[in-house]
Amino acid sequence: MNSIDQEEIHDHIDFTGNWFMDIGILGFINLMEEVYGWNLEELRNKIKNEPEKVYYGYFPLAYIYYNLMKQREKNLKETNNHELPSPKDYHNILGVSVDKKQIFEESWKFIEKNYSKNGRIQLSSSNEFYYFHNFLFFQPKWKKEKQKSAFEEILGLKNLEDDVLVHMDRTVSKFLPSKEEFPNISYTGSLITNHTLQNIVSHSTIFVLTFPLGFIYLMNEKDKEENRRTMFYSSNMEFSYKINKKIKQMVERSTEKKESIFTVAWEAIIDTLTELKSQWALENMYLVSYNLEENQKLINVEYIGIPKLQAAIIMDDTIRENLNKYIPYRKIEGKIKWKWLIQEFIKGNLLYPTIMNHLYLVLNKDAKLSYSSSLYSLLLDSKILEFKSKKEKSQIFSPDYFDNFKSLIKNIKDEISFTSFASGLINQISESAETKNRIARELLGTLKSNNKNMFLNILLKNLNENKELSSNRNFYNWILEKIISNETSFEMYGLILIMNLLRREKNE
Amino acid sequence: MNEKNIYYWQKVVGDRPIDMNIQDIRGAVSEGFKSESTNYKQKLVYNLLETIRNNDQKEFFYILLKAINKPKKDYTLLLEQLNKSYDVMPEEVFTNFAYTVVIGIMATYDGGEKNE
Repeated sequence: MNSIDQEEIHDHIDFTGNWFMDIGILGFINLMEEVYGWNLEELRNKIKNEPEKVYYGYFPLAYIYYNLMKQREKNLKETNNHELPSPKDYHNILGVSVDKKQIFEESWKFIEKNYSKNGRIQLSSSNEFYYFHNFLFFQPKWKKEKQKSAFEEILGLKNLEDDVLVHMDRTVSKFLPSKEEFPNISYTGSLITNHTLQNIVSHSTIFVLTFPLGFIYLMNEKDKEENRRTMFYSSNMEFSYKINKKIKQMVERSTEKKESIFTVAWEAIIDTLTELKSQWALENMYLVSYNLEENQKLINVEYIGIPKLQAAIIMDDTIRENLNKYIPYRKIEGKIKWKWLIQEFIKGNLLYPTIMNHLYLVLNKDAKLSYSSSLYSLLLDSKILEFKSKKEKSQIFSPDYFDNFKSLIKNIKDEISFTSFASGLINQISESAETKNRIARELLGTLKSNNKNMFLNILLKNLNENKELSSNRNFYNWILEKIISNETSFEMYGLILIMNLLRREKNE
Repeated sequence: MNEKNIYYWQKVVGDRPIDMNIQDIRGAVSEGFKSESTNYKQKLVYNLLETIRNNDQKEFFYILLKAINKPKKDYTLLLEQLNKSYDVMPEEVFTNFAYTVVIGIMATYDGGEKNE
């Protein structure tokens, strides 16, 4: 690799595969977007054309400006009307030099002139900067000379000397153990030093600083404990960037309707999925949340992985559309509760119990039947169960061991058309809606107690009165295949029958 | 069918590995009952369903055998099947078997496809 290539990679911005660094990179992108209004594409261009200016000029300006802006927002009443000059509005701060030291000097001049007071840049560790409480230049006692020198260290204009910066531990990242807690080599401090990191990820110290800016603040008025900062992480930068942006918009839009971050994140993911078909990213996702107490203790850290199987399935447009629905499933004190099917599915839960509850509501006329979503949910459940039981039996060297999930998706789709036709025949069992409701109620009871014998007994007893349906070959063959000789998932098919009993043409 | 049940069944029957072929049983039952009157079959089905509900295997086979104990050619296939699979079965195997028989009878009601 020649030196030019090296240089290009050096200044190229992309995720590294290390989530801690990556969140910092995302925070960096967020910061630049917030202050200068550059989106990811524009920022990339800037970095490509004038990397020195971005890292040594625009960045310190933005970081300090953003910090001061946040303080102002917080103490809106106390501040005077004096407008804080935004670096965005000044085009000539950095001059024409391409020397990084020169660029930084220019930007510092601007900072000193506009943002200092009483010999100090008024940085504060409030809001998201609380993450860096008492850290370097946030300390109220630090004067501007000291602050400047720390900045130079962080930007890499000076050798890293400050112990706080050299060793990566709790001081820099709350997700790491503290110096004393690093158990293996107690006398050297943390094993991870920024010198090493900088060799792998250039500007890593900058991304350490922007780490908290990668998160979105979720406020919960009822429960202060639940206040937390969350971000969506996948190893694909574009995917993560887009989704976090969407989550942020959604959170801002729905101030009164506080949904779980899981739901909001997934809505954003599902939206983005149609644009960027990245299964690889989908399989490697996390929600990272944290909440800092007074003494900077980490309260809540959450990682949510998405199983491969589920990821593969929701890549399919039809299936995803059918699961991407809220269905009513419970009535508590007269109020109907809704459940988002895709959320249950991603968590790896069976959808069967939700659909069963949904059918009870339909039966009691508290809700309208979501036929298509329920059908997809149940068949998905049953096919996954079949798939898993088949997988258990198959040996490593058997030909179907590497059977991927594609065949599963095809199976599900074939089953949909076949089953919806065959099971739909049960509607002929009686003309009267009342009778059908009665049968449905009896059958639901047997499924609730998982009693296959009683289910078939009641079904056949009622069927016995209808000669035509009894002798319908499509129908009885379906029952033989899907219920009688099915040991893994007869409940799902049973529920599909019940659902068809509750299906009223005019309601569709 | 669940392997566990097949295995259990195998043990009881003896040295031959026997798989319960539901479609074969259904076909043989339909063949046997195709020329009986629907009214009679409906009653028979009610009686059979009652015995399955209680997992009363003895009564189930008693009623079934009584019904086919006629010098008719139609029942040859069914008798063969019964000869092959009749035994004291574990409950799940029995219910699957018995409901298959019931569906086989119901499949021959007037008004649908009678002939296989």
